[in-house]
Amino acid sequence: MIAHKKRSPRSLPALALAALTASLVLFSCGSSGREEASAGNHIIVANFAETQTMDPRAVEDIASHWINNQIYDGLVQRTDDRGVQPALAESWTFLDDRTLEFQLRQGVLFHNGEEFTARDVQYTLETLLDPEAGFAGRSRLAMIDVAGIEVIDDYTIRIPTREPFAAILTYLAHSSALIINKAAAEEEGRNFGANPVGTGPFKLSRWDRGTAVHLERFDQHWRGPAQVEKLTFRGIPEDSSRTIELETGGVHVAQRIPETDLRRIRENSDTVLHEYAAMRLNYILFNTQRPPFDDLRVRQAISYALDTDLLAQVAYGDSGIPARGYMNSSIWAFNPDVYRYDQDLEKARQLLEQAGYGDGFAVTMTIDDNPARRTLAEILGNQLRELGITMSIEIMEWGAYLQRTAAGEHQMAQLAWLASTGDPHHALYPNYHSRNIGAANRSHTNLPELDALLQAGVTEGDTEARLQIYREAQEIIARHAPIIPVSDDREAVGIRANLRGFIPSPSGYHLFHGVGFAE
Amino acid sequence: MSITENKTAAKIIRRRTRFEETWRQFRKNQGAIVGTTLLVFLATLALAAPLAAPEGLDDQHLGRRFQPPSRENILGTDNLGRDILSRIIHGSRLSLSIGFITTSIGLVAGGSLGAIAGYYGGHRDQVIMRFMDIILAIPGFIFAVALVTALGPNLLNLMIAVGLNSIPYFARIIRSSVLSVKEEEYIQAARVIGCSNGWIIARHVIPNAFAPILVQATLRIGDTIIIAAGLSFLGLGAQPPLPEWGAMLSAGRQYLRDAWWMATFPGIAIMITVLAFNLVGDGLRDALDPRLKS
Amino acid sequence: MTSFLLKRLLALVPVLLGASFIVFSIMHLTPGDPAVLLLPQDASAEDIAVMRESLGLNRPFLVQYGSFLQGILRGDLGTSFRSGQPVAGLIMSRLPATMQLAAASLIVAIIIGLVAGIVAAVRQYTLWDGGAMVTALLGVSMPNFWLGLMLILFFSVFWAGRFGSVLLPASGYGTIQHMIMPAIVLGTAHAAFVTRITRSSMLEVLRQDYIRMARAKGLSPFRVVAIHALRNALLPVVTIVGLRFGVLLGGSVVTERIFAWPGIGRLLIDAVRAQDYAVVQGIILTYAIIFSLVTLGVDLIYGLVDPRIRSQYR
Repeated sequence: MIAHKKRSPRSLPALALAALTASLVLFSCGSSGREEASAGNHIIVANFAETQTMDPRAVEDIASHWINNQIYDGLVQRTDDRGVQPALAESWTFLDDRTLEFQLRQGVLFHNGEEFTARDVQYTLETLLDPEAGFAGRSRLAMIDVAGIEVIDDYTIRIPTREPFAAILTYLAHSSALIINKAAAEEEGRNFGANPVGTGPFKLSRWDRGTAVHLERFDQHWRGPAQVEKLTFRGIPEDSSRTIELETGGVHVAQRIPETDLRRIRENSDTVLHEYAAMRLNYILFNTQRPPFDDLRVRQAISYALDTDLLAQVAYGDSGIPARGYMNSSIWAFNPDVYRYDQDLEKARQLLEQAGYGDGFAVTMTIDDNPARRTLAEILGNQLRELGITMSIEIMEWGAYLQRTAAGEHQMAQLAWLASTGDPHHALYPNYHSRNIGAANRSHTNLPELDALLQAGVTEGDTEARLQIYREAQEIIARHAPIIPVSDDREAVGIRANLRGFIPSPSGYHLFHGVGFAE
Repeated sequence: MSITENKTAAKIIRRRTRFEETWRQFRKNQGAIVGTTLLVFLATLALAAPLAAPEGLDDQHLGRRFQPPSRENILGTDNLGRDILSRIIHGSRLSLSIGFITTSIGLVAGGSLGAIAGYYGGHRDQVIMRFMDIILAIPGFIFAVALVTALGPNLLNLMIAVGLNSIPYFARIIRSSVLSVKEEEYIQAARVIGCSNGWIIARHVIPNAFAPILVQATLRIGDTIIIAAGLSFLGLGAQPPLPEWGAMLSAGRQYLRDAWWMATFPGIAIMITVLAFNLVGDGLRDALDPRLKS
Repeated sequence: MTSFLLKRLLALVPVLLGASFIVFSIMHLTPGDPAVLLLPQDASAEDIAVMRESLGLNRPFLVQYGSFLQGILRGDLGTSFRSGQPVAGLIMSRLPATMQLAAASLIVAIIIGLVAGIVAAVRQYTLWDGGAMVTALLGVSMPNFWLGLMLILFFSVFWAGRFGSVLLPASGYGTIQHMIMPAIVLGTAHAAFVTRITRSSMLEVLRQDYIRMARAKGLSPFRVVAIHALRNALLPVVTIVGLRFGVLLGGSVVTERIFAWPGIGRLLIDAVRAQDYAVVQGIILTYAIIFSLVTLGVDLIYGLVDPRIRSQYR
């Protein structure tokens, strides 16, 4: 032992180090090397989640839809806030208040070389709306009367709705209705999502599952070829990692810059920050059918008790602006003149007194595991303590959370509503029509006069009349206080400063057809 | 002096010497002493948390959010302006309780199952141990993730899931201890004179398995604290505003670039606590297991 | 030997069946409805009912489990609710990343652990020994997700702030640089265990007569340690690595999440949250199979060394 002590096996560590290096080289994965960000014809995008599937019918997640919007085109495409513009459809006419006839663009090619015709439109909608197929996008377009779809000729198709539906065009502009190639979809079946064929400016080159989707330019695109040859979407779920990658040039576009990093991207001379309204409203929600919030006075009391500007500021920071109404203010029918509950603790106390809760009560707020909502709940609990209200927080998985709030087992909750079509119907009807109790009407609001207005908004064809209908509906909602609006969401996308032609889309599905690099 | 008294006296003497011997060994081990000191300190801190912490566990001061460590807030403040040191001190109660409760669940349930399996053998042994094999085949952390998701993410369910996780470990240890003493003459003798099975297990079998259990339990407490913090880190644990260390760390993750102290210090707290249990566990093992004496 | 192997493999079947049944039950106990998660938030109650029907969720629990088992017999692990893709394909596309990470971290663990353990044993009661043991203890006591954040903080955040580019990327997959941090994070605790077990088994071996003999014969100390002692001290090391492989797989879930590593661990957490039953089921089964095979492998190595164990299964 003692004799042995002096001499150490000095070469062992060196040997080990060599072995370690060798093994790491061995295990490095050749298939998907880090893309060189400097290449002038290759844009790399940091998406905030990985891709689920490239079958637009099958997904209801924004990260996948963003990619699908590069691979496919829709019949129509959303413009700014309320309109749509031609895409695969060149023009359309309403034959009556429930039937639309589309004239389709001629000479459009799919990635597999086939020509686009009305049969592809028919096939897309029929399979999408087939209950047996179980596609996620079905419910969004369920107003379409599938059986009545009629192909007149290769370039003319009639699409009827079950009842008059004023906003049909904005719904058809949604990503769920992107047009797929019939032949390829029939051939691939379940695997179509991994082998997509569309008419879009980019086609799939390789999908490294869990890592990245590599697209390449489709030279025969009907709008002319895209600016860059290659487009890669990397899925980077960690917020700060996306920022770091953008700052260091590992990616050229990073979606959903977290609130904590906005300043960094704004101030960095190598990067540009684009902020845009996200059509989303964050709010606190009451269950209006369960004590204590079945009493309007209690809901109003809480509404008066809170400093919502402060809540918005602390929980959503730079990424939100304090809400001033009952839908996102960038939706065209937004009513900024509704009744507002400015903070007034005295009034809150009186209302609670009248409702018989002068000594306060105990209540549970149900939320999902979302950092901003958790922060907001924590501050709220602190603020409500002043009124003698003890609030406990219950965090659930998203699925359980949706189910509980739909079933009305909650007292208070927090939610955000994204009206991704930008239509006021989308913003109000699901949340407040009594038909949707048990589904998206999670405040369980049940007001016949509101129902009547929301129904009128569906069928009313005149935009000005619709505006009046929705303005009135918002005022009724404000008086009923089923929610406390907190913040209007904004989203932020950061790009490298040498990128040209990038226009953020309010839907979040920014298109890359016209995006390139500065010379 | 009657024979019985004599015997009892001898037993007492023998026990004491065994205890003293263990203690003597334990004391020689520097690590074990450091660990014990740390544990005593942590336990005192947890018991006296309301007195020891400068502030309450949820004292929000929105005017001083994200303050770096300073004289006023030694470990800085978090996103709601709460004093991190205070929250860590309050949180020691949670982490220590989680460690003890989950290990107790595993110890009691696993111990009983293991004792039954080992003592009775046969079908009961087969069924119990196959079931343990099944649980062991699923990596523990993954099993806990699925279980907490199913039961609903909160502190109680977290403790149940992590506790269930520990069952097979204790079941195996106790089973093998039981097997090793079952055929000893004094157990056979006890059976012959008509002692009930339960009595034999409680009076003779369990005490013999005491040493390995104590060591395993101490080491297991450290493990469960880490597993529980890991679940909280994934959002499957304590509800806010509870200052559970794993949850604090998780909340600090999104502010890593602006407020590194939010994620750093809760992690150090976890590490020190687990380290203390590991040091004590190692010390106990060395002291109790003569084979490992060097 | 073949019959021994066969018997052991057969013995795995009921264990895996049991594991799959438990997981299936847990998933179905989970509150929440997979159909709701798939649909847009404005889906009506009828939409949800239609979706449930098309996913086959309205069938009785045991019928669903039965059809899952039938699928397995055909080699079909079912279809992911969320992506509509076959589960087997999803897992196979992600498994390599997990295995690479596991292998890299095991290599890190074994190399660091062996070296540190040997040095500590050979130089018992020196500063080397003390240092290695304290480091090992810290390594076991450290939550790996915390270590991960600290590494990111240093190598990516601080480094980028100071030098304008990251030393190691904070997330992603594909190159050695991407692998270094995750492998260290996942390997640290194991390195610590290997260090401790190597040290104690080396100490035991070094006291044996044949080592004294070898030394007396004038063999170089390096040969004595590296060839004679190490070979005999390796068995406990193999055991501990095998036994803790399950912990390693469990740890990979968190590690993959922190570093956005595209393995099955991250897929699992996402699937658990989305209640994508078939995917969860398939992944846990995969873990169980890998883990059981590793355990079996360790037993085999044991059996080769110590025939008494093998004879139990004859």
